[in-house]
Amino acid sequence: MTDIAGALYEIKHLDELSKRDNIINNIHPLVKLIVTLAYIGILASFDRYEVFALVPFIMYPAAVMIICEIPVGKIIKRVLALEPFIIVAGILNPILDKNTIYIGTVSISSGWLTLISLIIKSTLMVSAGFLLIASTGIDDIAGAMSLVKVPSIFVLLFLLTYRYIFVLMDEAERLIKGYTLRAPGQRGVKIKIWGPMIGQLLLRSFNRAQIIYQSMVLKGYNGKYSVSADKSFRYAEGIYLLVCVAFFIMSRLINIPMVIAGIFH
Amino acid sequence: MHMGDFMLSPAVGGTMMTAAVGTAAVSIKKVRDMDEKKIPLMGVMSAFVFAAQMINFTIPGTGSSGHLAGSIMLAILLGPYAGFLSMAAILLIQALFFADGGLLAYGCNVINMGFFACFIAYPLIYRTITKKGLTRTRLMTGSILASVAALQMGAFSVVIQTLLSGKTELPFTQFALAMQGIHLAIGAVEGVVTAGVVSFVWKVRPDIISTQPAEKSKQGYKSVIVGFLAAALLLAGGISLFASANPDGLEWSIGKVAGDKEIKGETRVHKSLEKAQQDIAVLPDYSFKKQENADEAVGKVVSGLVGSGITVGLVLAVGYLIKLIKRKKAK
Repeated sequence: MTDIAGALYEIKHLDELSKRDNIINNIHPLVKLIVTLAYIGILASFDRYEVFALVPFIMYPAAVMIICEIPVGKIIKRVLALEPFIIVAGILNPILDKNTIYIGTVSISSGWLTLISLIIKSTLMVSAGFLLIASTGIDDIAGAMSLVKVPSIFVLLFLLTYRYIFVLMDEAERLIKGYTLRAPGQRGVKIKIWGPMIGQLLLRSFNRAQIIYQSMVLKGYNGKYSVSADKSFRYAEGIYLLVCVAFFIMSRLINIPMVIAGIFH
Repeated sequence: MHMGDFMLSPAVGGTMMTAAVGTAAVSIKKVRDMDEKKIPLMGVMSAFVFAAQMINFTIPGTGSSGHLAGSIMLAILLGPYAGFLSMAAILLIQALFFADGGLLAYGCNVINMGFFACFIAYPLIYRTITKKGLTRTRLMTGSILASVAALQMGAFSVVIQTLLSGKTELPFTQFALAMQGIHLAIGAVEGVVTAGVVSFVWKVRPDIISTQPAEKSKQGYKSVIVGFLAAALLLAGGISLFASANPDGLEWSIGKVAGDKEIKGETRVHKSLEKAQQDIAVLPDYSFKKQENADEAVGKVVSGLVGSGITVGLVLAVGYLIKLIKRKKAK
């Protein structure tokens, strides 16, 4: 995430997606948060050698993407950007795992299974995370946080950070633009300028913080900040929660692809 | 240093989340006692670090470039408690919007990148060096040493958490050496940038640096450290329980690192480990156990592939159906 303008665009885009009107976007943010965490937690609990049983878990991100009409390409692009890290973490598995498995006469290191399992798992987990923000949005996530009694200081800090990221990244982009125009063809910022450049950004941020605080006080800020969190639960949301979590648990306990293969056998 | 969810077991992720929440609770209490003015300042400063992380520096002598992580800088500017909370907010936004660090791994990342910097490196190294008054040299040494130490501790913590989770095959010694080595370099760069920024600001606006929150009492740090230790004990307990039920984590990785020869041992742990390895390693459900079962194994793999294919096919079919229905409705 080195391209500042690109990063800003990506953040905004995900948040914008959540503002559209559809079934999942309208579900209570807390329900979506719980479903996402359950999904990631159950996936993480799988044995390292599990491959086939992970497949049914595609159902959840696929369903959310279809219902919310989130462009699949967008999510795949983002997941692919993270894939190199995952491969680096798991690339040694086939070499280090000395157990051998036999498929017919072919023997392979069982490390390949752990590597494939790792890639499938991480792809699903990362998509679930992106889909949460793409279907919920930052304000609703903050609302869900305050519903589960996350202290208001932290919720406020989270929201303020998010809000000022746009302002300060704009500022940073201007600084960098100014620098690169005077240093064409140079990769990155020279060591001599490190301190003054970031220091400059810091001073601007600091001044801005003071102005912001003063104007907040003028508008009646007294240390409290209300987050819209009084959305009430509906029946349908309870059913959504139940169906999702029950599906995850069922897929964890039953190896569905094997069962399906058994039927056709 | 951001850890992803795929590297973690729920036990490790959950325990570290508890540790992070505990540390955050103490910090929130401390910040609440301070000036309310702090909170907008904290928000802007976290956004500043977020923005600063996007600026790439050329690292002298190499072709590569790096960027700032910023936790020591936050601790210096805001004090350890507010610094820790700011880091936690940054990490949450990164996890949500960039998948930079997972949601299950959130606790680990907050501890690795926030806790060690704000509650160990900052008070024990930076504060100790700059205690006798600020000079340029002290600011520089303090920032550099604290940054290097914070990153070393964080990196080591990543190694431990990864091994306890037992999701990858990385052997302890090599993994630790690689992590510590690379983070020594990263820490040095981080330290130089932090030092540069802090001394620049100190020259131009000394009030910002020198009016850092006075250390109220040692009590605060103590409660944080106690909270963290309690969580660590819980972690150890949780993991050993988990490991004895299903030696997929700690024992397994220790066994892996120790090498197979030493495992063929006499103790109960070794025996259970050996059994577990047989059980886990050869896919018990799929009968990869022995070569004699090779045909059966092929059968299972084929049925697995077929079953998976059908499952994916079903998902796609349902998706297509929904799309069709939607299109019809739109008409």
